[in-house]
Amino acid sequence: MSPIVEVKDLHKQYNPPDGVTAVQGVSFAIRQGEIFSLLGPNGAGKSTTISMLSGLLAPTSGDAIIDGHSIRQDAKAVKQVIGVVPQEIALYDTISARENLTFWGKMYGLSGEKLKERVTAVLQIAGLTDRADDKVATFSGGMKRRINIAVGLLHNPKVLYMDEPTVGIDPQSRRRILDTVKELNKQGLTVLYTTHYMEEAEELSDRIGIIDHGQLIAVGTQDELTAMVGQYDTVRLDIGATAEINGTLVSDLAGLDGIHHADGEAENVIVQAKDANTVLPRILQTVAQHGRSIRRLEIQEPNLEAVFLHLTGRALRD
Amino acid sequence: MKIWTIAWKDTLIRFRDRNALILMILAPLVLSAIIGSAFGGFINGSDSTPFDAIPVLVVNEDDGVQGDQFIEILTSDNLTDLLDVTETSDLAAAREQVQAGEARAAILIPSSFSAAVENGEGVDTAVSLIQFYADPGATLTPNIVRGVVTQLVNGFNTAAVSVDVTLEQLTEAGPTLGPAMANLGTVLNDELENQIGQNQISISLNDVSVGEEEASSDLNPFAFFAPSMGILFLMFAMVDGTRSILDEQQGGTLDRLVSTPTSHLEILLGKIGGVFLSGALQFVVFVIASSLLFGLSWGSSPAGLMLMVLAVVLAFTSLGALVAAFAKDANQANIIGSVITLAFAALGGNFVPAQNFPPFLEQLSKISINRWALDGFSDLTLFGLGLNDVLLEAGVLLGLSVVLIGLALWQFQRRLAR
Repeated sequence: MSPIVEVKDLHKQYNPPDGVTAVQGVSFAIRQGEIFSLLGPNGAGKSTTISMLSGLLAPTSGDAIIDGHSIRQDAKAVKQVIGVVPQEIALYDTISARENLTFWGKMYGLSGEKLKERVTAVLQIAGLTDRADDKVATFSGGMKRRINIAVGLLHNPKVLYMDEPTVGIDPQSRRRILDTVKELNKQGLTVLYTTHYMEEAEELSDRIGIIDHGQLIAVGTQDELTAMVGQYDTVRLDIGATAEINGTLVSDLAGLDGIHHADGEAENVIVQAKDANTVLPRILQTVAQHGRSIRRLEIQEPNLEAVFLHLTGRALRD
Repeated sequence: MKIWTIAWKDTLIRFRDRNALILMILAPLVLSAIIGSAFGGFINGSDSTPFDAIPVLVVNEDDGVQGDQFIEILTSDNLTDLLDVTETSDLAAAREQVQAGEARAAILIPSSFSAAVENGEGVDTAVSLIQFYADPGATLTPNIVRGVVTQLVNGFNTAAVSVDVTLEQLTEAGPTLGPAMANLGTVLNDELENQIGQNQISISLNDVSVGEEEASSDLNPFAFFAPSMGILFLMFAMVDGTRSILDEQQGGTLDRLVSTPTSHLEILLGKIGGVFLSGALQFVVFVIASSLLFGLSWGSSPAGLMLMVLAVVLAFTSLGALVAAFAKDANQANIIGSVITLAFAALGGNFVPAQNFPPFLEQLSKISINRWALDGFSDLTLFGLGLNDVLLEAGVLLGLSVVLIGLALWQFQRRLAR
């Protein structure tokens, strides 16, 4: 199946030639009906990429083809097939949810009965039918987020861009939004989702692109990406700022049953094991036998966080 | 269609904003009421003559009967509501009184006046000079006195008095200024025909200004200050309104608009259209409210009033758009807009009529939208003029609007093409 979104070597430099380069040669493709997440820390280039794909920013170079339309050549046609859910709550607070939706529907070219029908439908999706005529200013953050999403769905887009749609909301609202995204996807909607929350990317995505410093550094399914860091849990032990690593401790740990690999650097010991929880008691016992005390212990499963760490040397949350 | 949708949405939002409504409608009405109350007791509408008779001094140096006839006409019963004429023999003192604002004008009937009338000297040979002294700071009252005196001079010249432009203007203004003015044309015609006969003589009117900087109160302060306050708060609202483009940029809704299949031009025209629509509604509500509450007449030319409202609102909208287009953000637009608003208001004559300014400042005031707006509305409300008489003011404002909106659109397009 040919991709519905095909991003080709996108670059964006603000105020060239000396300005910041926010996106450097990003390329990826999204298949129809897929949820594709761009995962990266704040400032990685996710929003800039989505802004270029939405026609808000002109690429410095490169192009993207959305449902057969080039963002450089035919931005208006692109805008007809995409729905955009921006990171900000882009609504008018002093008018009602229904008035907001009606206005945005008209901006997408809807009118008459079709417009009323779609407004009713997206209010149902947002679960806010009973609050439709209340001013948006009276809504909670989560409710505003839901209306923010509803706007992007008004014209039945083929592709929905969602730029960090769960930022700053309570867990219940987040749960509801994630469920909505999955439900929409089940109905055939293609979703491009950006987030810096690893858990969201893991839960939602068919495929994930990891982006950092404006560059896409890995793309694949979750399994494909985690395979990059192997299949072992990582146990990190902080055994004191002044302690030197005793070579005997490291070799003793490496010799324990179920341990794949052990290494030490500065005051940290890193142990890789097939199942960290099973070997943890033996690790603690061995450390105690060497007269060391543990200040901090961290177990990391082979997840996207580990992948990001592996690829960039930094934690995703940094 | 999308332009209208955006404009209507903005208008809806604006008219639901209680603070904006206070700024747009309540504040100018309250200020107009306060100023009107301070300068005259006619706001309740109970007084059918909205001003006192205009104090005029007459120095009669003529020994003949014609000078006396001239004064008799000025002091006739039909003009007593309009003119409060006092005879004096000291011209210098009369001029000082005018300069001090104690009288609105002084008229000198020269010693050769009767001789010139009775000898029937021709236009080219017999010129007897009636001198007219007025405080240039006062805008309306000297014009009325000048109008009356001009008619008398013309009457003595031709005996069969024709109503010239000034008189027509005054007559048109009659309903707004009271019964005395409403009958002025008829009164002058009758008096002159009866008393002067068929003498043909040329007597010119020499208009002399007295003093330069003395500020004067005018005939009907409310008729000046109501449009003035309306214009001032319209300007505040328009500059504030166009700032909403930057607010939308900051709040993310502008980006969302751009992400829809709507062109930049449609978005910008919609935003500017919304401010224009709000402003036009604001001013219409103000006109209606000031008429109902204070009995203020906005003139006898609905077409002229409509043209002026449209031109003024468009001019302020385009000025606001230009400020917003070049400002870095909403805060900067707010500061720049406020400074321009106050500077234009002071320069344009919103607080003190520009006609009271020193000559160079009076000329300079013409760079402000406010001056042209006030001149146009004064033509309608104070002088009772019509559509043709405000074409210049409206034309200047519309021309300015085209230039300012053109610049604003150009800059906004640049900002959106990132």
